[in-house]
Amino acid sequence: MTLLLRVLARIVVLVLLVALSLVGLAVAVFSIQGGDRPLSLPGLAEQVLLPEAEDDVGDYLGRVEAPGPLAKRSALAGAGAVLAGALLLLGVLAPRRERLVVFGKGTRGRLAARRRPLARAAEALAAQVRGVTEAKVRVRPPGRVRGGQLRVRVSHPRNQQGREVEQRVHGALAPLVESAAVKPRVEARPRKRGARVE
Amino acid sequence: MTAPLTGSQPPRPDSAAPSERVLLARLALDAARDVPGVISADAGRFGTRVTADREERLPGVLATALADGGYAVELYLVCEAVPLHPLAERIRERVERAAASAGLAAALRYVDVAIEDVVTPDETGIR
Repeated sequence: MTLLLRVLARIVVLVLLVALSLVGLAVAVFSIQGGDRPLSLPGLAEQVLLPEAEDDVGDYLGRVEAPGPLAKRSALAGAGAVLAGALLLLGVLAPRRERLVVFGKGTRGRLAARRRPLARAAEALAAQVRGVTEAKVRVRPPGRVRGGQLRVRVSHPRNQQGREVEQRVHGALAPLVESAAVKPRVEARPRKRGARVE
Repeated sequence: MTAPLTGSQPPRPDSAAPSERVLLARLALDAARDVPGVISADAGRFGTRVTADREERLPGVLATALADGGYAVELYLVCEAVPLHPLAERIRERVERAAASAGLAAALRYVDVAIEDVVTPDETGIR
């Protein structure tokens, strides 16, 4: 969806830029002469039927001001234009690609991983810990202001101590997050009654 | 997830010698795939992460010429659920060793490793 919006935004920008450049070119050409001569700005206004357009638009605006179906249609069209603009903005401003979690950057090169693979790797490591019945991981990549976080939620049987399970999970994740730009946050909860043990 | 491309096409016997850039890319890709824990290289969703030279296409590796005449290598890999930092170090060591064996150590500046996907044990059937 974001990709489609991005493509649409680029097409619209291209079309608008071409139109703007053509208008600029026309104004430049029609500024060669002055007065009422053919290659003058008043001449350009005549060419594009601006006086007639002024009359039509004036009539139209008068009808829009008055209550009636035209006013409602215009309001809906205006709202639609605002929405289209917002969607195009989204296409322009939305992040280009999934943010990478950078593990380290040195003279020999950089190591980075996408969020989903990193989360899957963390889930696999956490699920192997003694006492863990289920593991779910979400990765928040580091931003401009705050650091990244690895949120780990694990379930354990009721006969296990949550704090001990958390410490074991921390230990299991340590090699994965070592020197990574994410800090692990582990939360262990007792498995819900009735939940199946796999 | 895109289906990772596992093979690099061998050059045709009658083709001209590949460039230094392609040689480095090929060495890096072969060295990385030999590291335990690495499953395959990934060319990306649109297949853009490819080093191409005439008949040969090397998916999952990019070798970029730098201003100082050297090359930067980027590897896009699918790996097992292992600690990633030591894995990247092993990959770099193998790539550097392979480049040195081929006489290209001076041309290789750095190796970036990007983990595109991780295959968990239940998917590989190992455990």
